[in-house]
Amino acid sequence: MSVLRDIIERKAKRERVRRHSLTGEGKVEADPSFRGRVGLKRELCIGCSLCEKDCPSAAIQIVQDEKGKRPVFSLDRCMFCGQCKESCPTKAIYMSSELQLPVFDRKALEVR
Amino acid sequence: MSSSYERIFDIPIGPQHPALKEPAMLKLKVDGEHVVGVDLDVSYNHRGIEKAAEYRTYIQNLYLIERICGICNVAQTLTYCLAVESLHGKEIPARARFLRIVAEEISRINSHLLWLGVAAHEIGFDTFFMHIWLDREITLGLMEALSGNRITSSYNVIGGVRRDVTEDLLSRIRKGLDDLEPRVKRYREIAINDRSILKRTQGVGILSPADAAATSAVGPTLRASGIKSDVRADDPYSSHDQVPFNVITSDGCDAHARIIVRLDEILESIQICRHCISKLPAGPILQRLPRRAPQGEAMSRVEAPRGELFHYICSDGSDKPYRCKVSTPTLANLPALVRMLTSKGRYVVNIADVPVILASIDPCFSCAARVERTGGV
Amino acid sequence: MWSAILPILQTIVFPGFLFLIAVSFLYEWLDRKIYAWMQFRAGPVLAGPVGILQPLADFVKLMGKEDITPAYADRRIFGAVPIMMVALIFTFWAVVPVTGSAGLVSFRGDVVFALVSMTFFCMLVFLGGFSSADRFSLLGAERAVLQLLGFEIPLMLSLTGVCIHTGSLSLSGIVSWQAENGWTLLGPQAIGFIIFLVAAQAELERIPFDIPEAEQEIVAGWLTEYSGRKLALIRLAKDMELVFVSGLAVALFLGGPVGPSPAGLEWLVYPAYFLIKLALVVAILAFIRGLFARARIDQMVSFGLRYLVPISLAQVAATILWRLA
Repeated sequence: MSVLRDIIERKAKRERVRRHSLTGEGKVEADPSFRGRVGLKRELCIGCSLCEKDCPSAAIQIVQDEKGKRPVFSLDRCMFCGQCKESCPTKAIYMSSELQLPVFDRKALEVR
Repeated sequence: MSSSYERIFDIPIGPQHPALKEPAMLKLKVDGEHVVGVDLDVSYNHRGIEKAAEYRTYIQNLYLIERICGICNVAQTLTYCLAVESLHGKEIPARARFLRIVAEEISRINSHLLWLGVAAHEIGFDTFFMHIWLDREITLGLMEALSGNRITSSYNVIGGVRRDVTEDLLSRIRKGLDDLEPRVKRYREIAINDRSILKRTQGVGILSPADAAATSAVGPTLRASGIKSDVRADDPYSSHDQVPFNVITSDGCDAHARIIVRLDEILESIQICRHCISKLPAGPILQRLPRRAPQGEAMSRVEAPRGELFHYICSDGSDKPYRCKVSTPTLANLPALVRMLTSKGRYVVNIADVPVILASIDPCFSCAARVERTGGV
Repeated sequence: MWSAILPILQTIVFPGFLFLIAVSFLYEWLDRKIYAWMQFRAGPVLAGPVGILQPLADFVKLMGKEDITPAYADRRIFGAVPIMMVALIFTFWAVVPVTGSAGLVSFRGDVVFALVSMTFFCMLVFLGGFSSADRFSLLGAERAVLQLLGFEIPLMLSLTGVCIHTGSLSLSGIVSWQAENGWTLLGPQAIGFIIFLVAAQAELERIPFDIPEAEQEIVAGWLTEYSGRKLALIRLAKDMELVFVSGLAVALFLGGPVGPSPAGLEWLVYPAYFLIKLALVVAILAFIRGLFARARIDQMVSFGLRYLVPISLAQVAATILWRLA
């Protein structure tokens, strides 16, 4: 019964749960420090492929583009541990706080 | 066959059962509503993590080890990092050690609140469960702000911690702890006073101090039997000797004592966090270590939320461990669980008590699934 | 012509079957909303305005699901139990007064008739669990009967107090007595009302007495093997039972639907009174559900026999003394 007192006290303070939704009003926003979608600052990347070596879930592939070697991140394999960001010697990899990544096409989950 | 023997039949709890969050098998021998014997099998979710660890580099293993247990991931990585660091024979910076304590204690609060909600759910008290899990959001938010993820923090890295804290973040953590403390105190009050909770937990799952020592129980299960044992105090592994704290014990020896011990530990963890934040030393947070570990063996132990966690790493000098061995607290608590589940003399276990007793050791069967069978314990 | 159709309409539409189904869905929603409110949740929100159609949506969804009968189950009894449960509540609903002091059917001793329904329901629970040929169902059925032992006697005694107080064994008599004496029954019979609510909670298998279907212990108890249409019907029957038992509480202790009303508008005002009082009782039951942990079966039976029975006996004795004086 002591739960009743707790409920009454909290209701009196007008405590309530925030309703979340995926879009529009009340949209879920992650903390700015959240480890979300991975991105690459191409101009900083030197193509050392350390990120590929350290990635625990083999989500990074090194490809050749016009400026040389660069990583491609497959977000469907990524587990957002952030090790690539740690390993990068030139701080070319960053993680945004983008939370929602559901898409219909797998190609859209490749960060090129 | 005597008539009394025919009344005994098997009730399987598991491998899938609403009381279990993970696959495990409890074959109860039941006489009416009374449990007279138990056969425990936890090897349904053997994931081969230790073998997998031999094929990954030390850095990649960090994230593999983290996934042994979702809730105690900070403790898992901490133990692993301590082992690797002792292979290197390097001390890590003081600031990193303090930040590790902060992360560890936040995750302990998180784990204990989660457990408390589950325990309330097991005794059918869903309102209490919902209230506790609502307040658990505070610690999840703190974890996200501190490490970048709510559960799987990846906060500890070999040689230190990943992120530094800002003054702004520290004040956020302080505020979160201030919000949490009165709530936990209120839950403690409710857990002590509510008669329907007392009815279901007092005298249930009794583990006498002698039994607890004989079955080598660990963590809150052991401390609720009145034995003062805590790796943080006995073997200070991360500047715990510079932090004043009490080892919480209780003489209740039953499921209710385990609730109270865990609630008190949350309050103690809040104090530890506050102390570490106020006494946070300046300096670097990371001591860079080479990718290859020197040849040798290393062991480390950490007080995880569920009890003593043990890691062993054998290195052959390459960038991958030669052998990695993990002993989780749940595994150490299983013999005690079997003893608690067996009626003996005047101590009677009802079927209705089984989920409560099971929950009272805070089981994490998937962490423990690295043995074939523990039926004979 | 009209006089021939009217009773049929009354039975089928209002205040009979359709009304009962609609009201039971409505009050399941209310129950869930109050429970959610206590737990700082939102409760049903998606189906209809503020989720009011959620119980109906659940029912329709379950109706469309695969219906499995276990191979070793007693097929006939197993299949008959859900239908019998619904039929049972439909039948007994006839005695509950909704539109006036009397229900669709009213006779001397219908209080006893209504009381029998609770025991019947429990027997059906036992049959359902027993015919499922499953150990969880069997344990649940066993527990349901054990629980009946605990709450049935206090339930009867609490009704006895009311019957002695009003000097009537029919619901219409009790309702009219309250209307004539200014709804003063709840004062002297308050203990009886509380005991009735506690026993009703056990009868309805809700926390703290949801022991026969304790999820964490025996999966879903006697309901474990039911699925699809049968489960939908059982859930409907349980919702209707909630309304039926609350309706009994309204008639017995809260004065039923009868109340002050402008002349000529009784047909509208009385059902409104009934629904409001019903909401009150359902709210109390929902509150009880949110405030306790589940009792153990031995604790429940000993609580019933050790505390509820003596208290309700004292209540009956006091009522008899009051009648004699």
